[in-house]
Amino acid sequence: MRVAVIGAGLGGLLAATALAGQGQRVTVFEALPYHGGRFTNIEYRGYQLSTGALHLIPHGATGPLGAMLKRLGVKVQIVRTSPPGLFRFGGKNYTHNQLQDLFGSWNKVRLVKLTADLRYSSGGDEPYLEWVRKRISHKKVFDLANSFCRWALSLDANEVSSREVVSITKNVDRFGAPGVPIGGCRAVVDGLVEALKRQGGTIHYQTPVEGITVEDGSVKGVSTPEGELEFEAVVSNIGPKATASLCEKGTFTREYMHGLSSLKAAEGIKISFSSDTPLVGHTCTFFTPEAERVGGLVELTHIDPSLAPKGRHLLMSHQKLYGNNIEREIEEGIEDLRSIFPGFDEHCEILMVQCYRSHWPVNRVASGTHLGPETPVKGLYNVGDGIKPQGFMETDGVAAGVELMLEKFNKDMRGV
Amino acid sequence: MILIDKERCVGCGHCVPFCPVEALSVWGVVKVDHGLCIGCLTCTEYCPNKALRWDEG
Ligand SMILES: Cc1cc2nc3c(=O)[nH]c(=O)nc-3n(C[C@H](O)[C@H](O)[C@H](O)COP(=O)(O)OP(=O)(O)OC[C@H]3O[C@@H](n4cnc5c(N)ncnc54)[C@H](O)[C@@H]3O)c2cc1C
Repeated sequence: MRVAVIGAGLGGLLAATALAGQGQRVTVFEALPYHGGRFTNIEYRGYQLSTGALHLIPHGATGPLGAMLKRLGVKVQIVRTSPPGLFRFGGKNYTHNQLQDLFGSWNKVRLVKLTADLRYSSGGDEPYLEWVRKRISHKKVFDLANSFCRWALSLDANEVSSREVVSITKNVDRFGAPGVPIGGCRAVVDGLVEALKRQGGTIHYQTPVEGITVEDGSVKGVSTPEGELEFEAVVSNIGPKATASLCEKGTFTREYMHGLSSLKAAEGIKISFSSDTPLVGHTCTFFTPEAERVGGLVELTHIDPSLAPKGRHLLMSHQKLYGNNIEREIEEGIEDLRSIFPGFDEHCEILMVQCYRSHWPVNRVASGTHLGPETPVKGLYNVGDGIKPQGFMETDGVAAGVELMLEKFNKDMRGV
Repeated sequence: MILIDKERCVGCGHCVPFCPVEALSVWGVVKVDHGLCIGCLTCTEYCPNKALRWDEG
């Protein structure tokens, strides 16, 4: 079967490689001169910065992405971060287990109950922050909830359901803590492209798809600057909204279009900076619950020193973007870094401040909203960060969404 | 002259490292140092949001 994949981001490359491995004839169209989308490296002043991701895979080698890469024969080493997380309070670092030292005996009991509910209850529609408040009303706990949500989801804790956060926690227990791909994000996408080519797939760079042709409810092909091309199936990695906008008006019902227009993206700011001395001392998620803006940061170079010039450390912080005054949010993020690390001005250099919003956000569909890969058009599927099943974050969500697409594709198109 | 479309530029900075003469910087949005820019147009190719374009003026 001839299959077109629109976009060589992580979602598109995973889908393309898996489909080529089944024997489909896969052509990937990418608008940019490079593959990887928001998941690859950009080299800047000797540092491996990135087009988006912080060189972290949420569940390391053992989550959905790690498992899929292994199955597709992609050789990339993913090293688990350790300890699983550190939390900064009052200038001191606490591990997960040490956090209870911050609370009196009565609140300690409540905290144990909260942790148990995160693991064994199922949560509900109510915002995570409200769910927490019912169990323990303590500023430090609210700060922890916000710091996690801002870091991992680019949302405040009142913007995501408790069901989603409970599912995420269960997945952390099941699949483990984050991991760093050695060589950064690029090692993953380069490995995928190699595997894709081994299976006979091709990529056309600087070839934006300008339209998707649909006839009688079935996909017929795509139009590109190279002309109209026929395909029996199209897998789109450019987000459900952009996909729909490539189809002729009237292809979809008003309800479907309305559903798409109500989808909300998650936006954020990443600050990449270097230090001549270790600031954290481990490569692990370093949560910053007392910060105004920054949810957390990671010092990557203990696991992969090749991401920075010799003797330097590469750190990346992440904060949710509110969008009212972007310059001020950036300044406040940097102020946070100064107060977290008193030697910041002496030891650190800011390398780049990157914003992700609007049509190029952190997540095209914020965590907690779950759209399937299928569309009303036969043979047209979506993959990527618009299609993340419940409880799966970021690139592990992308991979889990690609698995769903493959299931549907095999059922609808191949009858298996 | 390279012009930045403020509506389209999100400030992701992808273009910055690809500029051969370091004429680009990013802080919320991308800025061009027109004194340094040689008009090679590389940045226009690397922008994921088609926010940079060449204007003869
Ligand atoms: C600041 C930030 C930090 C993050 N941190 C992490 C992290 O630490 N860990 C993690 O797991 N995830 C992280 N993420 C999320 C992760 O980067 C994304 O989930 C993932 O990269 C999304 O991949 P995608 O394939 O869905 O989309 P994209 O990477 O956006 O891919 C889409 C591709 O389609 C191309 N395209 C668009 N339109 C067309 C067209 N018409 N024709 C052809 N091609 C087209 C684009 O150029 C692009 O290459 C982060 C994201 C950001 C922004």
